[in-house]
Amino acid sequence: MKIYQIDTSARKEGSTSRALAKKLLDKIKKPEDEVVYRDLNDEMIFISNLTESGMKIPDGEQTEQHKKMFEMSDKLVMELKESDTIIISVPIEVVYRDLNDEMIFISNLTESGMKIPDGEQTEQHKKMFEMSDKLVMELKESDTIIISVPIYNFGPPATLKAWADLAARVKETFKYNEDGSRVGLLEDKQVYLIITSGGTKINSKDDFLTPWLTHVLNFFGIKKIDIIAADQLAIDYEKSIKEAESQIENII
Amino acid sequence: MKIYQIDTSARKEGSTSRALAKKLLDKILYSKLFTIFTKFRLETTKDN
Repeated sequence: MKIYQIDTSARKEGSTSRALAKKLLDKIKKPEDEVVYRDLNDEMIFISNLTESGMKIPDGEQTEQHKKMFEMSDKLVMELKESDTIIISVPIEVVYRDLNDEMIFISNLTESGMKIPDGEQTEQHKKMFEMSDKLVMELKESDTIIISVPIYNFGPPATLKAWADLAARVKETFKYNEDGSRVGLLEDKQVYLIITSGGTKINSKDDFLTPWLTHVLNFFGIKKIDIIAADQLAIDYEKSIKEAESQIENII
Repeated sequence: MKIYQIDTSARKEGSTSRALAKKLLDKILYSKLFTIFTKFRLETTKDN
């Protein structure tokens, strides 16, 4: 049997996915098995400069870069075709942001939307755009998003409103079509909202957080939203926590 | 696979929303690994 192991983590040392893949390989490998190993960090070529659709370029028209690309492609296809079992180790990366550690409120804008020409930006504006760029990138690159949020005075914590204001960037998280309709640009993401409250019942007329946050995420194009609620903790803490924990157990 | 966790509570210690989010994150990570291993086990069982 031929086992094909592909490691993909950008970390050579201390990578959990690599270590687990090795454990798995050691467990399944029989003495007679052949292992073909590929580390995508050692050598990888990105397809580019194609002249027509599909991976086809006539021999006479191939540049050196095209030749290397086809050589790599042939090798990978052969490795795949010849293998019986394939192990692919993929790292799961967790990006953590605590809005209490660092947050900027948008202010001193000179026109509508988050736009200020470079030459007119103050130091405060620059910090604001830097933070906004960072938040937008974090959102765009994530597959699963967990937001933990308490209801403060019937609405969101001020830092979460600031986060939403900084994350709402035209052509990055949303755009307008020519007919004026809005389109969210963050599709195919799963969001889990953990919402807690002391007295406010979730989705009641007093809850302005849940509809607002859901609307903002929809505005960004995010439709897959699951809500885990531990509401009215001041009324029956044990019951509320138990229900929330049960939701977590059953949500996946 | 990238998971993005955002905590927003003004309380660093003793926050219920932060504690529940951690539980959920652990559950998601466990579930992803479990899926990978189950898939692997099914494949190897088939081969054997």
